[in-house]
Amino acid sequence: MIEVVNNILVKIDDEGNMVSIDDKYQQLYVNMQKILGDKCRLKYEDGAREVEDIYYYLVEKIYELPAYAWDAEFKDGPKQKLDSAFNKFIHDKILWHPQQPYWHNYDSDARNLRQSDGKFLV
Amino acid sequence: MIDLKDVQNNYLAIDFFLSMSCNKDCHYCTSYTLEQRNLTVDMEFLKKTLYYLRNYKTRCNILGGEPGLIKNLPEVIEEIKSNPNHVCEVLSNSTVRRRYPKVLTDPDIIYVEHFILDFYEHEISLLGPKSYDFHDENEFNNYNLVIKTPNFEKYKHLYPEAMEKLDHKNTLWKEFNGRAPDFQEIRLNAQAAEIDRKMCAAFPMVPVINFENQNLVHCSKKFANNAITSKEFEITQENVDKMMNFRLFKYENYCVTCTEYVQPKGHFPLKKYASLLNK
Repeated sequence: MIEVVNNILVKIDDEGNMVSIDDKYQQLYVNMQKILGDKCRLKYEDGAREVEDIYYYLVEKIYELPAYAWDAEFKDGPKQKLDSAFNKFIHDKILWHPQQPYWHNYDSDARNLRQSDGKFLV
Repeated sequence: MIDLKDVQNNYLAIDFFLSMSCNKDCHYCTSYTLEQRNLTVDMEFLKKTLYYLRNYKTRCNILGGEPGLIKNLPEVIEEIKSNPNHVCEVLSNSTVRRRYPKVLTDPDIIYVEHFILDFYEHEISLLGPKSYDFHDENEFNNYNLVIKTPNFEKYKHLYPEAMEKLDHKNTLWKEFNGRAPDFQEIRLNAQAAEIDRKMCAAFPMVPVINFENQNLVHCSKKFANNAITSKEFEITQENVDKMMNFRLFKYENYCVTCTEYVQPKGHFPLKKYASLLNK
């Protein structure tokens, strides 16, 4: 689950611990607040909703280039769609495809490095 | 009078490829044939297309091929101009200047003349008749479009007078793109970031209305390239509505390898997306 604590995004893990989230996502949250105002809400169910590609791309672009979020006013309809896209992006990137510590992939990486005859590629 | 900045910020551009015929064979261009064909525009098809676009602020770029070869060009322009939501832009190699000079005196038409400007050691190679010089600064919406070819980058410092003549608000500069062969001495623009190509795919810099096959084509760059045919759609009200609301076009396989220049600061500014999506 992702929550906002003191205006900062945090991830709550299975054991109820608060796990910090990358600064780039915090910056995205701040920028989305700037664009969406009080329409910017973090809702778990919105993360699962289908959104129009263009809104998802806009959120992704703001994530990649925070300076992109500058001087643009959206009306209520597009704001709502943008908020859904933001939720989907956040849940998609942080909750459903979390970055695993490197040792989680150790076994599969080792297998991939091995050729079929058992020799290592590198 | 049309304000180019307003058009750039609030309109979506669509290329109208009236005919693929051209009277020049510019080295950087693959969007032409020297065969003279389809030189009269089907007005019924044009009217139908413009009707589907009637509610959208559209910048209709007339090109091809060379629009100066079109026999009923004045009629086509008048039809486009008849809807206040539509802005007419003509991109020519200067044949329009010779054959339809009235286009240049109408400030409600954006007239863009493109110059190859291949700067060699001994001369500047201009596209079009040598008797035509660059457009001076003007209020008639006549523009020079200069393509920064590899030779331009290499030799421009040898031609300060030409550069001075181009240094005003009526000159538009275009980055050289990946359509040309790989010039080893000149660094071409790197491929745009994936997110920029995705945004471009949702509504490309310019989708195409192909008047020869009478259909809607995803991307002018791939369409003109001929290497891989860009995805085609039937022209219907439903498809036009989807296109203008960023719902028709998808990130296609050819977008993955596309090397067309996209500004790193964004395909369109966020302000433009807001302006279009708010409608």
